Amino acid sequence: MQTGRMSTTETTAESTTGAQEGQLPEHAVKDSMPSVEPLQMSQIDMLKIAPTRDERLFLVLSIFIGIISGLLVVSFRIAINWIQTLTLGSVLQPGLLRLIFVPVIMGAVVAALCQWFFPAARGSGVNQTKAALYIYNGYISFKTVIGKFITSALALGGGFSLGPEDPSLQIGAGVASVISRRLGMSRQRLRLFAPVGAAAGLAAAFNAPIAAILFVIEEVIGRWSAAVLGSVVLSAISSVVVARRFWGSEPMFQVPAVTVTDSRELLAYAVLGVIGGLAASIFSRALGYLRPRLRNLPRWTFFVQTPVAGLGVGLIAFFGFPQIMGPGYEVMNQAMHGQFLWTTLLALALLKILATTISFSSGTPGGMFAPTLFIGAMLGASIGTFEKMHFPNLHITVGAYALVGMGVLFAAFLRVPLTSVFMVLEVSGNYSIILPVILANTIAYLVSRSLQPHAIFEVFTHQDGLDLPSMEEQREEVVLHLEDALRPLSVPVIDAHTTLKAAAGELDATHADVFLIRLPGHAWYSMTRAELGSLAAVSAPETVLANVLKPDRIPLLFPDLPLDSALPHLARWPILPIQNRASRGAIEGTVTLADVLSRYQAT
Amino acid sequence: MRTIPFFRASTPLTPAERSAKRHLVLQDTLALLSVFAVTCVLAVLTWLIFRSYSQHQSDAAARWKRRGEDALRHHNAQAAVYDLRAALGYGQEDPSTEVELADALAQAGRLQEATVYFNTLWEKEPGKGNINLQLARLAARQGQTSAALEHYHEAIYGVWEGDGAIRRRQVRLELVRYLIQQKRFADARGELLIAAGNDTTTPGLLEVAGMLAEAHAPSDALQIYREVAGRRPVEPQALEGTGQMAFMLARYRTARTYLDRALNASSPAHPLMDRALTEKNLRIANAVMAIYPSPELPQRERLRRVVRAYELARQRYLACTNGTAGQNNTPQNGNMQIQNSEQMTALGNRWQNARPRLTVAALMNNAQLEQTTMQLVYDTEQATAQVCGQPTGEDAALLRIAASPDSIDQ
Repeated sequence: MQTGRMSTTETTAESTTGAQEGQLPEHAVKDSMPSVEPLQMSQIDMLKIAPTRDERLFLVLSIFIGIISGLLVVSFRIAINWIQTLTLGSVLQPGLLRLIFVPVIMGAVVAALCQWFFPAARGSGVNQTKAALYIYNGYISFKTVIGKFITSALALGGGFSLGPEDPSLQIGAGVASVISRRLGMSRQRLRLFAPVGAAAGLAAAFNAPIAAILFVIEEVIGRWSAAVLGSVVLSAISSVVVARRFWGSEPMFQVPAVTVTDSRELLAYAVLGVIGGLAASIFSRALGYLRPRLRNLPRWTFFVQTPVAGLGVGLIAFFGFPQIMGPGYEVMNQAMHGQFLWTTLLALALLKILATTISFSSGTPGGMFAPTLFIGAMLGASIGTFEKMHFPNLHITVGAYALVGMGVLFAAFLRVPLTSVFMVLEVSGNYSIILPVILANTIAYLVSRSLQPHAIFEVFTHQDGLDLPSMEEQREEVVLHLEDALRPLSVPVIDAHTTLKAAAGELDATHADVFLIRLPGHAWYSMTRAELGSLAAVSAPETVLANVLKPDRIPLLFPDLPLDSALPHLARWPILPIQNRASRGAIEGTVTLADVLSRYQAT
Repeated sequence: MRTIPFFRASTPLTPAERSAKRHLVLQDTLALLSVFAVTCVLAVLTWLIFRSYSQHQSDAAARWKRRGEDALRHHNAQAAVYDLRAALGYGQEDPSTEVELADALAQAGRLQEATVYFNTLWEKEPGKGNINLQLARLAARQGQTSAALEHYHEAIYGVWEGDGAIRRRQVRLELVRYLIQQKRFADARGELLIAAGNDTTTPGLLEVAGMLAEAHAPSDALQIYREVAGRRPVEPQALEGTGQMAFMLARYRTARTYLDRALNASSPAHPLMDRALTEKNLRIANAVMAIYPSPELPQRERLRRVVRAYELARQRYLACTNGTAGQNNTPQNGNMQIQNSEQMTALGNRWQNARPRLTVAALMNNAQLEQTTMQLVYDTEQATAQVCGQPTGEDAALLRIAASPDSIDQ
């Protein structure tokens, strides 16, 4: 039964984001559009026959979405590993010719698939999911899910320097979108399913439910939303349970407990924060520079860009650094176990920035999470190894440095400081590391923000011609409060037991057009001269004000409340008294509509 | 129990609405069932794929580990590094492979990488004996003595799997070899005495006794060799060791006894450690004992030997002062020459005051004379050895006695 909630004005996430990703003509994205049906207003009032149906189905389906996303992400990861083993072999050694050929051939195949069959599969998947939420009513086609799975698996298995997490996020969101559409959910619910599935996909990929939930809130939804939080949590937990059933419940990385016995060690972590902030800025600027230039090239070059990027990655691998290929989780593990010299680690970090920049800018499907973690881990391990060599008195653990480095890059590059802290805790299962993580992440975040005002996904959004909300933008916003528009009390304050005649006399004496009336129980009422006149016309002059006032009262408003909280009341009341929170009934000042508007205009 | 209705209607429904509601319930139930079915099918498929994948991973990990171990056995450390890294890439956190990889890095000469890797393993398991041992070896190779000693001790007192006691003893003996190499003999002796207490088997004690000898602790070595030599069946190497240690300590009587027994007890099945040395030292011990005026000898025989030693020493002195005994060619500094010259002058005075001819009867009448005579003999042999070079024959035996006259009979 078609509930008729989908509007004819709905378009698809793929149609726009696909076009933006690859500048595709209309016919190329036609396949990814949903069957647009004319609006059919239901003859039956759904709210009457099943008022809570959507809400409850939403919760039940969140669990199914979590399970299915978890299963798909497990299969996705296996597919990447199989393809890597089949194409690149078991061991990546420099000097092997297949290190060059495989990424080029895989790049050609992926480019052809993206151009001919799955145009919406290009790119990371985070912004596409976000666009689905805010622009396309949560619509992500099943074809996109399939395309993302296949093309990302081929690209990552073929050695492109990208990660599986962002595609997993989009696969999860796609699964949620498909299922919710099949169940005929309302448009409002359809929109909310995208972040639910995104959290499930990311949680399964990372084996980190809290980080996934926080990331979806910080980056995908862009604001705290109570409406979706319960379902996001349910789906993330379900998918992680599924993933752990297959991969085990061990944390992704195991490092020894970190005990900061010497405060100088925190200084060392602070150095890591500064260097991480600088590296994130370099990485961000490189992507911000190359990506739009490649996207503005003629369309035929899209068939060539991915293989050429593969050639670049392959050459880096061929000439001594095959570790930069693929997501690189094994290499991160090796770095944590101190298997590299600090110079090698530093070289790997820099080359990974280069390889990821060319891989991602070419439009190859794949994510930014794993490369970010890789670069952070290499930088952290490099600094840790260096300090361990030159400052043997400090009890430095290379693994801990690598782990903190991951969080540092995550916070500074993706601009998700809260997620970064929990991500480190979850992937290591090590709470003892929290102090260095918070310190280094905060420093890196501040350094990165001062050098590069916009978060990377925001940069991509603007490059794609979209305008989506982000928590980073909210952090930048100056929130005005009532205290910013507050004026000292300048109107007469009259007691409610005053007569109409006395009140009029008071107004005449002060030449005021408006006045405040103090009522019993710390309540307030504001009145204009005109309202007083109309009351006086129908009542005796000796009538007490309290007896003729309308029943409503001015709501309690305090100086710390947002400035816009006054707006709904200014239509009714000519002036609003702003009260002191500590002293009930005491007035801090007043605001009028003109005060509020002039304060907004001043910003 | 109160149940919450899935579909709650606030106002009575019309027949058409009731029908629509039934239809909706049916539709949602079927949809949820179909989602459930899809989930089940997907779960089965994923499980099958995962099982195949896991099997492949563990097979590959085992295969690469075997290759790495083979490469290590064939001293191809560089290849072993690649193979073991591949094995670790397939298998999650296999501690034995990690240690082998670190070992391969060390064998490949990549000492810094190996040290960093072992340090990381150590951070995870600081009490692990094997990791500490490898770190000790790496530190020793890099000349970091204090770090090497620290890790050796941590290895000795660390955790070992299975054959803990044996491995700890092996590590202790390795530490001793390192200490001997570093000429820290006192430390080595202490470790060896502990090792001797930890393994009281014959081979174990023989090994410790041999190392005590290397650690300049012949007295302790003699004690252990002697204890083992007293066991049945008799171990020729214990007899030989006892004889050699006694010889080293100038206990020529004991040395002669044990070296002789060792030669007699040895056979192709039980060879001596150094037969030639044993024979040579036995000859020397016999020569010493043949000339030594032992207090245990009958008086006449002892005094006869004193007279013989006196004559030999006198001739040695005269030959040395007349230049016929040859001069010592060993380079000597000025102070040494002056000292030797003064020593020879003093010795000359003593020989001038000595009796031109000493007899057994004279010695029998003067008990003090025997002692002063032998002192003159010993001083003469030692002084002439310094000035005119090492003596041979009976003079050489007298010189040995002069070095430690009280221990000969021990």
